Amino acid sequence: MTDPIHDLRRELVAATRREATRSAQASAASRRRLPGRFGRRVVVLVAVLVLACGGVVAATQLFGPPVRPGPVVLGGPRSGSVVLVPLRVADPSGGYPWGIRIYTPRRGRSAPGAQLTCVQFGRVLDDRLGVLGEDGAFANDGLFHELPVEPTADCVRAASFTSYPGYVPASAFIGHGACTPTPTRTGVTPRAGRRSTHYSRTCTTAELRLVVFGIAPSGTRFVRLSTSVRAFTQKPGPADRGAFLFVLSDSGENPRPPQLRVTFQP
Amino acid sequence: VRRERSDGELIAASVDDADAFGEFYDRYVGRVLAFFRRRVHDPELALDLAAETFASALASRSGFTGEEQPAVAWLFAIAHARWVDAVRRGRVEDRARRTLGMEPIIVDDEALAVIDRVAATGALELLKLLSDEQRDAVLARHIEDRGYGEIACELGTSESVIRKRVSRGLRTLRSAGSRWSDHD
Repeated sequence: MTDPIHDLRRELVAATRREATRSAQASAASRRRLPGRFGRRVVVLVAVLVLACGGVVAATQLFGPPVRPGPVVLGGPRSGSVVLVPLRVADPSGGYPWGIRIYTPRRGRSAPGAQLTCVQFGRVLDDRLGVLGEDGAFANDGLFHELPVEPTADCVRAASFTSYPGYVPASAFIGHGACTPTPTRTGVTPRAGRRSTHYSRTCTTAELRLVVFGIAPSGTRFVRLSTSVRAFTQKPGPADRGAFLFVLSDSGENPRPPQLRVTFQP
Repeated sequence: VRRERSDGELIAASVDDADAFGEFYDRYVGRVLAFFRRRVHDPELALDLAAETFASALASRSGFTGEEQPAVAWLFAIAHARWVDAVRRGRVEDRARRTLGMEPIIVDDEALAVIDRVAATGALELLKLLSDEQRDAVLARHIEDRGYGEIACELGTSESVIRKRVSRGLRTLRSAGSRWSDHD
């Protein structure tokens, strides 16, 4: 049976033994006459070679290439308007939390006070919004891929709104190679440009998250999400700009499509 | 009857007794894995970080005196440093393992399941020490990263009650040597 915990223990104990031997040899050597100038150079050279050649453990990358940007709509984000709000929501299975990015597009203002707001959700690592290379996305490389501002934002002309993307892959990536929820699970029609031919296979239950996000009206203290099974409450922070985000696992308890209701409590 | 050695005694003994470090590893590998599993989505990455943490601890154990902090706090300070380092550099460093000449750990699907099982055990073994109310509050605050107000709202009590439950729960965990609150 494969047991990496035992394997790591064996490696650590073996390394401890080597260290003890090395320490004993160094101690014995220090009692002998110190080598001359040339001798010390040889010792240093050997030590450098051991460090350079002895290590066989490869460093593990966290970041992969960013997600390829899509076509710019609405003129792209207005300069200085892109904000990753502090809101972080734990994933039901652990790992990088989920977060929200908000920006104001350059175009789309048809009347004073009717400014569009664009919102994106994804996983967060090092204050960067991105997606994961899993569930078929990015050939399951396991890396974090930063998400560009385009094309995945939802842009709404309202001071507050709620978006129900439905079930999405836990990777947060909806696109080429990623698994896809069945239409009965999403409860929504695929967005333009995301034809089913882009997807590799249907997501399993464990690979799906039920995502609900939006901007709460001004003065909201609590946002409450009610499903047919239970209710969840979130309190937007002062710097969250009213953004809220719920990420639930697909427990199989919710009907298809999910029956959800979001209420705002002042 | 042989007395169980303290963490500090195990680290001190590991200079001559390699199995002593193995015993120290056995005590904390679950909690260290749980620490990283909460932060990364990939069990293999969590193992990688845990491996570098223990290798760093092994390489720097001569600097541990036990006078400034308990061994578990020292270990989790190293774990936290490895995590911050990995995020800053965009990769998990392998310097300590290279220096020690450690071989890589082969991980397959079966091994991934083992990692998650050990991480879950590491997180849960501490929570058994708490009352049901304290455990729910600590889990909601520190595992689910939810706000005090939100938890209070859901459990139908005041925010100050939840704060007290979390505080007492963490104190219990600290006294058990977990230093849970220091990890966040």
